[in-house]
Amino acid sequence: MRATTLSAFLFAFLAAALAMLQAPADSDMFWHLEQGDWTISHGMVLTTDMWSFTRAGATYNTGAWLGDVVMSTAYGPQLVTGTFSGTDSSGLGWLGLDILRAVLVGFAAFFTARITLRVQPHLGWAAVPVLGTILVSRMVWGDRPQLFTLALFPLVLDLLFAWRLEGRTRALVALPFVFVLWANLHNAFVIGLVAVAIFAIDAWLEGERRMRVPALATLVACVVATQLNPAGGGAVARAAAYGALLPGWIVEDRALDVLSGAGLVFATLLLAAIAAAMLRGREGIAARLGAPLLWPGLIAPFTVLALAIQRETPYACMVLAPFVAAMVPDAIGRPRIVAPVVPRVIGLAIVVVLAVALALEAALAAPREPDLGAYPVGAVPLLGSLQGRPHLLNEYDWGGYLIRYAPTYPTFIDGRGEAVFVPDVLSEFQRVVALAPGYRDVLKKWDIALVLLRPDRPLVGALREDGWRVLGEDARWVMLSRP
Amino acid sequence: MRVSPFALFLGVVFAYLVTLQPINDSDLFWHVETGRLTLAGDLPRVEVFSWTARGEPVFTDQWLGDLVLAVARAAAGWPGILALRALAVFALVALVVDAAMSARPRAPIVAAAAALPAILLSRFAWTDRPELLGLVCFALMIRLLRGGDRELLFAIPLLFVWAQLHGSYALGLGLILASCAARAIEEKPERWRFVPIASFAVLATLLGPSGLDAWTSSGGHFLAPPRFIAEEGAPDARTLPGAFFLITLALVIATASLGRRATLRETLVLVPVALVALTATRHTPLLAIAAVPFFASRWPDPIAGLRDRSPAAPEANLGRTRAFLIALLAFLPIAVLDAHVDESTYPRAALAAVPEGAGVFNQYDWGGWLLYAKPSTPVFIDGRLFPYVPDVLADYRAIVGAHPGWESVVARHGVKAMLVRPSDPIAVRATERGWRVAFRDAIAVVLIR
Repeated sequence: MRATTLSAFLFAFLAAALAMLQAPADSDMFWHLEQGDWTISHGMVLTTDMWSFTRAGATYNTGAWLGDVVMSTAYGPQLVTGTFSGTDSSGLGWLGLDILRAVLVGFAAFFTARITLRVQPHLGWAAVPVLGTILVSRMVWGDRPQLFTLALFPLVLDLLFAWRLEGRTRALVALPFVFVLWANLHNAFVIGLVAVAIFAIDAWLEGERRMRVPALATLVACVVATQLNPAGGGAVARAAAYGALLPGWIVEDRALDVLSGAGLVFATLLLAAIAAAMLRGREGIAARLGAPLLWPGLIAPFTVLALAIQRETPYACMVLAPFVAAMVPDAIGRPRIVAPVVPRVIGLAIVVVLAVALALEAALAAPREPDLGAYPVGAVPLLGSLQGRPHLLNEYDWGGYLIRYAPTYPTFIDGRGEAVFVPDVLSEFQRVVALAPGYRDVLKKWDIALVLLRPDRPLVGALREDGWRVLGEDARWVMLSRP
Repeated sequence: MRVSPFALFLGVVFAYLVTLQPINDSDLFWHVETGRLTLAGDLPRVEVFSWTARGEPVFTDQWLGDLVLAVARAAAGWPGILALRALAVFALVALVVDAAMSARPRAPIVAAAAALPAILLSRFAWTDRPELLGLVCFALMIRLLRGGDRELLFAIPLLFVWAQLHGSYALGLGLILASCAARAIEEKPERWRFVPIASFAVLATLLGPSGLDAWTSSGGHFLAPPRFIAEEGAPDARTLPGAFFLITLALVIATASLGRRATLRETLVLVPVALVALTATRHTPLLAIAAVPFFASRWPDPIAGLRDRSPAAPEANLGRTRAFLIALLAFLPIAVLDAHVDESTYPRAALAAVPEGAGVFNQYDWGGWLLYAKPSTPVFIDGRLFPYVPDVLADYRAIVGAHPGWESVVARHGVKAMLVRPSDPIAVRATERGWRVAFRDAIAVVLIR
């Protein structure tokens, strides 16, 4: 076994071990689990809104039906619906999600490391950008189908690099199959298609003649493969529309702040890449890495994407990592090394030990409960005790939680924002909670009789002053009832 | 330093074009008022314009920039301000294009293309603030740092002047130090000569009235930019400047990877500028300006074949052309003659309803303008920001957003009237809470308790 492969396993173990310790807490996790449960129990994909009263009956598609099903399967069948009782599954429950997350994050780290070690066998030089990328990727470790994109993007890159840099054309055969899976798991598969297109263009412009046909054929096959999902060509169209719209109303979709933790790591990698590229120039890059057109072709668009939509930053780091690992030492005159070989038995033994260590961690240290510190847990029993089912205006981030734990109360809005609530309901939500002109019209239009919001929302202060009754509150939430 | 006629020509063109842009920057007015006090021999070292932070210490790091604006206003009124802007844009564009021309002397198309991102991005900073003068200094610094020892020595007095004009000088200091370091590495004999140059550069930034405090303002803006101000936000592809910046950044990546290798000095200048540009929208023009010679020296020339056959113009002719182009600026007074403040976004009509004296809560964006339009009414807050951080700013946000408890904040400050936008939550809520509407139009609401 090559030492680089073993090192990739080591990075995968580290990332998976870190991911395993994170308690499930993502605000979208709950509705993804519900969608998965529904799909499994009904044997069909859910395409009609049945959880909100503002868009009830509207058709929608989040483009992640298989991702939802996998998550739901990892969690296991839900025993009790509508009440939170800690472990409410006959399967692994929250531990199942912990394990799924750890596996996907480890998978992503393995292939990120493999790409990097492919061009920089020196573990020390490779470790810095790979660890940086793993740290940045934490921003998308929430338990959602986006974890599948995190895992599959570096896999696609690894296959493409194996073909472009090492001439392994057979690696391309796997790509269409990956895209069939990806297009059903999560709708960000388009970034993978972009990567394939960039490699194809590079091969056409600068690759050897024999590379052109496989490149084009692979691109066409991958595009066709992404049509094999319930939405057909609509999946690509939806993803393209998302990219064109650049939605900025969710924090994770906003521009990247390079003074944040993840932003600093990304900026460091980017500036190191620019500095190394400047100091070595095209000829230096061609001599060290080959494919001099490919690297700016990958780095420039994914950098722009990361700066435009911060949740895409990990993918830009995955592209930057091999370039930085190879070119920075080259720019400062460090010699290249050849990866040593580890005896296969020792290598396998180490991998087995790492796997056992992960299993032990899952058994002993992985969280069994979600972290509900950000949710209005105390409000759920209150909701259950109310007579009738008055219309509830809820916090955006709590919609998914309410879908799972207070399913008899339809939400005003929830995390399916772009697919279901944009633009009208989202705009009304933003207007009403901020006390913008016309906020009373929104309350009246939807006959809002109950409000469950954060205490610092301007609307909360106004409704309190107007005599709405406080049914319950703590530092995170307050529930008000119309007098 | 001989500036190319092509650079002067584009400078003149943009100098005239920029006179078409109205005078309406909300910060201009407090800069002019501060400069006016300085001109009168009373450099403000404590806050005098607001009723919420009166007496608090204020930064004096832009005193010369404020003074220049105040002198322009005192000398020629608003046309003076517009003429100053036009001259600054002339200098900026001429310097930027000349940097490109000096990198590719006989390829004006390449030079123009290389300068285009800098012109497009800096265009968003072509406003009447010391920031524009800072950009001129930055462009000149980039030009000087590409030269030899003599140019490096000239960079020190430039840095001194820059440090009095605008807080962006800190980047200039960084670039001088980086240049010295790069040259010390590249030019091993006599490398120690860069130590005194670097030391004098540091000293030059401390010789203003702010002393060490001058570093506080720059550091604060760089390390903790106030993100709620649009221009201090992260560069955003959804905006035109953000989109231009990302294109520029992509061009830097592509040029670095596909062009010939750069020197250590080029790298140590461009990379720190890229970092600064990434931090906030207002810093994005810096990367485009710094990258001009890098682009120009590496981009291919589409008409190289034609160019090689055409004879170069004799230097004597160029001298006359330069003189003619600069003489064109003499007609600037005609272009700026009817300059006036565009108040279409300001609450001019509401002013009559605004009470005089302390106690008026005003929209952040209108604070500077109020100093000019109604000096008898001190402001709650204005665009200077630092005198108001953190307490007054937090109170401002609580009130304007009608956050829970806003009434107690109002009571604590003794706010007796509000001048806000109709779309501000407080305009809606205060009315519901019984504040009397003394004035309302599409721009502003005046509420009286």
